[in-house]
Amino acid sequence: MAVTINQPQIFENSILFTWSSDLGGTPDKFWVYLNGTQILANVPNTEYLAFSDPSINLIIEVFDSLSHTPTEIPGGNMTLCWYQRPGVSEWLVQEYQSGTWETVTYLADSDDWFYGYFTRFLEDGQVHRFRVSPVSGGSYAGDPLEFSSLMVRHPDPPNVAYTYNGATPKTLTVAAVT
Amino acid sequence: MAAADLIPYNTGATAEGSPNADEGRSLGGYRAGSCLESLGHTLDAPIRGIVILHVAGLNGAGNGLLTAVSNNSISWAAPGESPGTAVTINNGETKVIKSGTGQKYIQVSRTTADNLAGECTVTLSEIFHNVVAFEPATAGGSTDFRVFIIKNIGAANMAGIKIWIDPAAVTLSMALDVVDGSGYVRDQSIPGENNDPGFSFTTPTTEGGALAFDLSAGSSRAVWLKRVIPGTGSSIGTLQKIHVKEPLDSESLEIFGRYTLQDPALDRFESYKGSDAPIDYSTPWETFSSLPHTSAALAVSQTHKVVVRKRNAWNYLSQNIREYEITLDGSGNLVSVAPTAPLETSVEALPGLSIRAISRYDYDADGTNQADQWLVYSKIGSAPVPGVDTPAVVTMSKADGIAPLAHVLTGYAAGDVVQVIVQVRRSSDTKDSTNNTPYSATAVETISEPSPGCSGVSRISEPDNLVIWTHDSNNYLEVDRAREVLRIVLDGAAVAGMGRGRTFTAAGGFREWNLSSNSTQSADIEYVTGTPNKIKIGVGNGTKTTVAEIDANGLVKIGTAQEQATWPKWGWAGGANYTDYNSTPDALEFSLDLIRTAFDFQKYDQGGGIWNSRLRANRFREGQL
Repeated sequence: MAVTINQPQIFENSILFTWSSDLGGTPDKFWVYLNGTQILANVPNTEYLAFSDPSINLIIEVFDSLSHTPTEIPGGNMTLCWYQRPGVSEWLVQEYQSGTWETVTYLADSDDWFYGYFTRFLEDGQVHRFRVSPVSGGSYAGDPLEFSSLMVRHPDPPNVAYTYNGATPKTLTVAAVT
Repeated sequence: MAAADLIPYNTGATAEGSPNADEGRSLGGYRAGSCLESLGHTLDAPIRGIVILHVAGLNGAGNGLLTAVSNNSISWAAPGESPGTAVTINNGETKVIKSGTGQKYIQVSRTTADNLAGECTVTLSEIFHNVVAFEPATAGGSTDFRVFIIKNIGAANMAGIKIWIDPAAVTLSMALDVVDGSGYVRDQSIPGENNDPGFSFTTPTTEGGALAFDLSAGSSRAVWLKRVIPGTGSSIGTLQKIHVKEPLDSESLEIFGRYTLQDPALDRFESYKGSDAPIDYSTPWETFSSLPHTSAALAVSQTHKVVVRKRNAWNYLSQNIREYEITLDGSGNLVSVAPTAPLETSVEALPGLSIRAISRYDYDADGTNQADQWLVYSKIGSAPVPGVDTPAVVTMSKADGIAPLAHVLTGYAAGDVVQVIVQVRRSSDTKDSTNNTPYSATAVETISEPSPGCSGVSRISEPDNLVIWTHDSNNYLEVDRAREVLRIVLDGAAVAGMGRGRTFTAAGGFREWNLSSNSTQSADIEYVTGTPNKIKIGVGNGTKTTVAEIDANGLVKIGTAQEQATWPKWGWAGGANYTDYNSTPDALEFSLDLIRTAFDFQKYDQGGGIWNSRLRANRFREGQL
């Protein structure tokens, strides 16, 4: 497959992907995946306009046959899950940051049997710790559940600036933007 | 008697059955109440009262189905399988529920006497960094140890249980140890995870060469694991798998997990370059470990495109494609790239011998080459000459990718034909866009137009009128808080409005598309290809009316409703006309939360004494939900 990445269209954040098949004959159906999730299947399209923040990876895969498997793209979030406990009025979700447990949110107990909390997009290459505590009447109502995971995913695009050096030799300096 | 009665547990508890889900503390001591899980699970539509305690690894990743077959029984279907035999479970009981085949089972408990009901989808996914997989690793050849316990929870004794390591788990070896009657195995937590407990570790990779042991009902056996981390390499999920098989079973239990392996040498930046060619992403141009970084020499007389990406220690590479582009002349001087031309330029006459120039510049598309000023050249009777005539220089206002221009030129005499050229300029190096197309309008003293109409457009001076956005003193948006109406005021007159629960309505000289009568519409929406492409709607009996156009650039232009002179309504608006489609849908409904739109409004003389106006949507774009 020949996939062409075109530079931003009207918006800086809009990227046009165009493609053609390199199979013999004239394949006219394509399968398209965005960050590992199928977005088009068995379609004749030969382009896709994607929108993305420059600080976020955008991974497009295009196949011209069903024999291909898309790359597994790791997500950047954790889902915390726990079962109901009796006598709980709300659940305190905390994240361990800079040596202390910081409050993320309070979730009201909705009498559901099973709870799930989808975390924020987590930094790559770090161990992230969360805990969920049952709360009743403003006091802890039991031991917290603790969750911990190393986040490994595609690193964020580096935020850099380029400077051309016109002296000899002609070079570029790449520096971090802070 | 079956391997489904063999449950793996972590160690490291302070007392038998106490919790310890931390693989790093599974170094001996008491058997934990926490199972050694190979698969994590999330539930959709859980069955109230049922808690999943353990999922056998053999189930595999995917979606399984837990079903309440009756008030007191449930069945389990592993991913891709049919349900097994339903199992009765009473309040307070713990049961193993098997799927349709083999050793695919889950262990559940029931914690309520309420009737069981419903179907629960159980999504299973592989677990990283459990006791079999160990902690995240860094390449370097170090050795770690862990120990877990297999317990026979059944009522029958088992003999000849076999345990071996999957051939794929080449970094593992193992040894068996005893567990005393209190559920205790020797504790190595003090010497630590890197201390060899002194066993003869072996690596049996077939059932024939497996280690074997017996387990009487309720008894346990400890399995020590030794992991030798590779000296080099990286991985986002190295598989560690152990098979446990009871002789009478046709297939083994699988206990597995994955660990990540990082190689610090991979943690770096990589630059990719294309010189007079697209960027070659197959091989980095340069790699460097820190910033700032100065590149190798660039060739002169070429256009260079460069992208810097980040690779992490697990060999993942960022996928950014925003390019930095420079063109060098033969001496290595930068060749300046002009900003692109503005779009949708037009001019119009305003009352009071003024001319307004309107345009739009999509600055984002120019990236680092974008302009920051408007140049408005004007001349009476002939086209101005950029670079010769002096332009009005207007600082751009940029937002959401659009820089709009609405610049008023004044001081003309009636009948003057004014020609205007609009360009954009990057002030840092005085680089202008190259377009030279003139647009013209004739200056006039006054422009007559009907008074505003109804549906909130009719403007009554009230203290509750609140200006919420101002272009200048005669052009603004206001809210009539008493009537809950948003009004558009152009040149001092209210020309359009939208009230709570009403349609968007243009008044007087502010309308574009005509509804031929009150009830001659067909009930559908039609897209008509042409020049321009049109969107038509109808509501009843065959006639469709154009409500929007899509031009060759993909820009959507939306019309507004025209007043029907024969349909007076709402006396408070002075008996003015109103707009009605006489059926549903009676309004185009949209939410500014869903669609971000840049509108502009234009007036024009349709002829025949009818003044019309045009509501143009310059741009639709996705918004953040």
